[in-house]
Amino acid sequence: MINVKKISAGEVLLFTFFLILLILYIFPLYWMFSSSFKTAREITRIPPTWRPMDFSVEGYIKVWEPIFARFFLNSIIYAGGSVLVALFTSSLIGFVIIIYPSKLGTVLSWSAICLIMIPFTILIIPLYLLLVRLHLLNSYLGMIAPRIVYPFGIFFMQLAVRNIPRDLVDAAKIDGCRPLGIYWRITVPLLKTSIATLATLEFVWRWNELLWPLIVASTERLFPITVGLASLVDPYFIEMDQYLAACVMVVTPIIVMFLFLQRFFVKGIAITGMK
Amino acid sequence: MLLGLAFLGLFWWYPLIKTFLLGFKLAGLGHPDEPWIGLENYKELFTTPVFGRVILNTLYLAVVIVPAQIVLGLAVSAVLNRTRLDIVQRVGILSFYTPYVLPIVAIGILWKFLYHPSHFGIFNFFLSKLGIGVLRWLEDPKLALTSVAIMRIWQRAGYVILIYLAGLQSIPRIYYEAADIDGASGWQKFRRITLPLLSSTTLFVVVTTTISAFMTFESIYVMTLTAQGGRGGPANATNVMLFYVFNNAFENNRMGYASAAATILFLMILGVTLLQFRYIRQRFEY
Repeated sequence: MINVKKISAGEVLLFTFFLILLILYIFPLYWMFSSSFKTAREITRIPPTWRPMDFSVEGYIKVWEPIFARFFLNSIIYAGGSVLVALFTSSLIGFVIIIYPSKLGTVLSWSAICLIMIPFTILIIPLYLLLVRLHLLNSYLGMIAPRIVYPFGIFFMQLAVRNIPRDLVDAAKIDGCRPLGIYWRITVPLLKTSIATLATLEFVWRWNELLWPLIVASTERLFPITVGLASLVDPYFIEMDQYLAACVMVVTPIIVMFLFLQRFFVKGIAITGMK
Repeated sequence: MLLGLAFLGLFWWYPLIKTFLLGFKLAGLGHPDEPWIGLENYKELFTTPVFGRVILNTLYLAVVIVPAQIVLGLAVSAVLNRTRLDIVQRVGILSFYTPYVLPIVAIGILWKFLYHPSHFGIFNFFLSKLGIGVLRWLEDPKLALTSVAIMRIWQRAGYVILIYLAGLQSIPRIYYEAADIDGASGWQKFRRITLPLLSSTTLFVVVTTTISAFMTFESIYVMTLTAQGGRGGPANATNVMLFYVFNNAFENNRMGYASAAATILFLMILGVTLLQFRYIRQRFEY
């Protein structure tokens, strides 16, 4: 029996309160967008204006330099490269661990689970020294190197591979399909959603990351967008129109991506959350 | 397969072990031989007053952020779960979750603007409207760390809300129907059914939120830059563990010393994780 409740006064109050919270919550983001279209003078006006009075893209024009395009490109290479490499190795390793069980696979699997609990950031000092020794500092390869084999990805893909019907794999084995063939023709197509989820999560994590690329890249040419943005702000914090314009430019691609790929974000969180 | 293990060893296991070892060494660029110096690094850590401050700052962040996120997460997800309007739920999730997917660097710059100490800083504008007056959010040594914490709570609450929402949706309706028959009030239902059944979710949230508070770095790096004292100020008021590690390793080239600090941070995180496992074994056998 579904009982149709009448809406009580308490409920109205609750939802009003909730609505106010919601508006307060998105206000900072609104403020960023609206202020970025104000002139430098209007930003510092007292009292503040609730929307741009003299609409201007001055901040955007002033802050945009060719190097900014380079920052974006670097972010795409870093985040995209990490995603491609990590997805390929994670899904392949996850596949082998589950479909062709072996001692080595078990060791690898346990090793990955242990490493998930260790935050990557703890490891940066020896990793930095290692990159120095390998002459990989200031290179894309150096930035991506720790993601070549990625514990979280392995763990995630193992869960996914475990959920695909074994009959399909067994049928392919009987038909004489080679392991790589099974991986490519059967597993990968079945894992599409999981792969997309992991790709989305990983891409956003790497896109937003600051500390690791900050250490590895010391020349402006290699800065991803986060490092570039951080280096843009000077200690006196005066050119606020420019900072905000830059923030909007950095944030917008992620917001667009989020709007389109919401379900992958939510699914990813549900999986990482319940691990 | 072997190759996978090799890479895992080289880029994950080796650095982990090396972090512990470096803690007992003098290391940095220009010390390729890395001589052993025993407990010197740790001795220095525990006798430097700044490091005590750093640990307290780190703990303070966790103490402020974790309860706030849990209360906010529970309240918002409870409302989102109750609403019968699908659109409210979707818009709610979108708005609360968006800050979490954005880079903290951009969020930090935005909040530094919101916290601006003069009257056009929007927080100060509201405060002065309310007659409280102007605060020097990030410049006041007493307030700076709290200001960072508030930003972090805002930025990460969406994640907690989503986790709680998943938890709430997994509670069978039948419990509430039974409680309705027994005439339980809304609060009683929340207190006696929802909270206990969410305890494993809460534990997960506590652990992940604590760890993420311990690992605060980006917000400090971006928000606390001033012309007088560089970052982590004013007067070390926002100097936290990971920032201290970064500063010593990559600004002062004291990698052995920084590794010792990183080891302590690691032990703090390990402690939280182990606490989780012990607690699970004690509590969740129903």
